[in-house]
Amino acid sequence: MANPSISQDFSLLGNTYLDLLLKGQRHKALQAILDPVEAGLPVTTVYIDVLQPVMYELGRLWQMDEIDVATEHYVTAATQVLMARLFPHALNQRSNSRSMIGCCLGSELHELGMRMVCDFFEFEGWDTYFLGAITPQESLLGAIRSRKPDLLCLSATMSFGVPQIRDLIRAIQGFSEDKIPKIMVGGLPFIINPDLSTVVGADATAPDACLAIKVADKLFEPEAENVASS
Amino acid sequence: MDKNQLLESAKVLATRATSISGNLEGKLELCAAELTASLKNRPDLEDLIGVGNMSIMEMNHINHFRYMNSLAALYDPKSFVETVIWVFRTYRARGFSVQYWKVMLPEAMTILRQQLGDAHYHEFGPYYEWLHANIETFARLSETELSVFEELAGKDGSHG
Repeated sequence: MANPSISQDFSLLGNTYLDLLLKGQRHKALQAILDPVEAGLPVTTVYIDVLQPVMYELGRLWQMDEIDVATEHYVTAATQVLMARLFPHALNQRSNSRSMIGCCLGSELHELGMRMVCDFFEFEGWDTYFLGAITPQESLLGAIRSRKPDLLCLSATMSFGVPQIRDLIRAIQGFSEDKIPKIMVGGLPFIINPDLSTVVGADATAPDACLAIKVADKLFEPEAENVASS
Repeated sequence: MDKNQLLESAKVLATRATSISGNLEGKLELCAAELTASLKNRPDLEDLIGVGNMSIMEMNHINHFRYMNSLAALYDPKSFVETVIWVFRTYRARGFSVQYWKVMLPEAMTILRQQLGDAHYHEFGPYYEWLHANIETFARLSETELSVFEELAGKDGSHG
């Protein structure tokens, strides 16, 4: 069980970060996070316990018209800068010899969640290939054919991206290649209804980056692989 | 009607054939433009959408037809219910009145009937009739239910 006082500390840190960004003070906001990381706060903790709640709160503020689109984009862009600066702090040299491609399909613009997922996989020793937002299906299929990843992670934030994910998965399942990646899906529609992952033909879903790692590990356990191949 | 009852009623819609996915694809912008033009002609438009919300309404109409097209491609009752609550919460926060959907949905139905023809329209019709019949429920749920962002953050939605 989480320690309540530690949770409150993370909440306070998140509120400080967001408040500074809402005032347009990006440098101070980034430093508010970078200082505790320099002092030893794990980057994975920052991602899950600080930045993820901040992004949910940002979504709520936008939805309730308490901030405009420009402000939402500013905070998101600043958080991407922060993640780029945090990234080297969590990298290590070990590799688990597995590879993944992560991307947002079609017209999907919201890429921060998938970027967070890819960073987490990288921290865990995966070789990741993050394609970002608005990736055309044909281009993604080409990347899968050439890189032959073990895992493909797909994200949708808007509901109308879900049929595109289903169609892409069907296309991949029609590959003649020997190696077809396992497929995980995520994002708002799949958080609202995890059963959608089965509907679109994915192997699994996870509500956040931390759980995505655990779910992916299970997908590649020897027993799971035997079941999948039998 | 509570949310569970709403969901159960939405599940009945899932049995209907949805073979028109793609037929609407090339007509999304045209349908949205016609819907916007129709509403712009109304003298009570500001009462429906609030002041200064024209571009937001136009975006909503594009997103509306994109969503209905995706619904034809993949229908999931739970996602449908949650998405509509999400839409009501988002646009009502920007000053749209409940009356807006009472006007907009029948207009959208008329435009789709014109664009798709009766045969294809009949596959969309039940979704619109269901939406129209449940406008008040959606409006209430958008005020009383936690938003998905609040649920994800595990709190009551207060910042700071």
